[in-house]
Amino acid sequence: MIWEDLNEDIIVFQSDASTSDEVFETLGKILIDKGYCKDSYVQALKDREKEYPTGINVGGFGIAIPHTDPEHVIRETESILTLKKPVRFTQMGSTDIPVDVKLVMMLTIKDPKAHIKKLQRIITLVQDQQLLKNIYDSDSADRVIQLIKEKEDAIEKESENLL
Amino acid sequence: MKQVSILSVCGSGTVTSSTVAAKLKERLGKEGYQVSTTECRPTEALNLAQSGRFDIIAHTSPLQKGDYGIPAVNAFAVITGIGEEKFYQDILAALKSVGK
Repeated sequence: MIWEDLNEDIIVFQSDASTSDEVFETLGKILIDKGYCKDSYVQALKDREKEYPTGINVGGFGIAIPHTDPEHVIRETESILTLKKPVRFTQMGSTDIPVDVKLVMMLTIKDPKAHIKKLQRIITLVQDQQLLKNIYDSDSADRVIQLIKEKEDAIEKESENLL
Repeated sequence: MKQVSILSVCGSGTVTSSTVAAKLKERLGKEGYQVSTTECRPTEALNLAQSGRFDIIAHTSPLQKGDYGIPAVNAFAVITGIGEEKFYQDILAALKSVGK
C-alpha cells in the first residue's frame, strides 16, 4: 500500500522550488539522506526528465511523477511535495506541452514487475483530481497519509466487488 | 481467443508502460483477445518493433524517428483516465488494421 510507504520525513509542504531541477534537488536530497536512493539519483532524475517528461495535466490540475532507473534506487517508496507556486514541467509523452505543476509524487522504483499493482494504483490516484486537490490543501503528513489510505481502501473495496 | 502481442513503450520502460500493459490485458480480454505484452524504452522500441514479434505499439513517450512497420497508438490517455475509452477504440482499430 502506498500510504504505508509514506511518512512525515518524505512529505514536503509548500516548497519554494521554482524549477523542476530544484524540485528534484529538494526531494531527492531527502530521499538520499533517508537511505532510499544513491547519490546519483538527483542527476539521473534531471537527465531523465529532459528526455522523458513526467508532467500530467489532470483536468486542469498539474501533477508530476518523476522517477528514474532502478540502478539509482536502494529502497522503494513514494514521496510527496507540494509547491507554493506552480512549477513548469513538460507533459508526459510530449516534447513541448507545458504543465504547471502544484503537486509532485516522486517514486523510487527498484523492481517494477513485482509492483505492477502498486504502479497501477499510483496512476489511479493521479487520476482523482479531487484527491490531488485535497492533498494539496493538506498541512500535515498525517492528513495526507489518511487521504491516500481512504482512497486505497476504496480502490480495494471496488476491486473486491468486481470479483 | 485471438492472440495479440503488444509492445508497450515508456521513458523508463517501467512505470507507465507496465500500467498500460496491465490495462490493455484487462480491457482487451473483455473483447476476446489474449494479450501478451513487452515493456521497453523508446531507445529499444525500433529494434523490437522490427523483430516481427509484435502486432502494435502503445506508447506514453514520444517514439524516435524510424520505420516501425506496425501501428503505434499514443497511450497517454490511460495515465490521465481522460479519453481512455477512445484509446481502447484506437487500439482495437489498430489491431483490426493488422488483421487481428
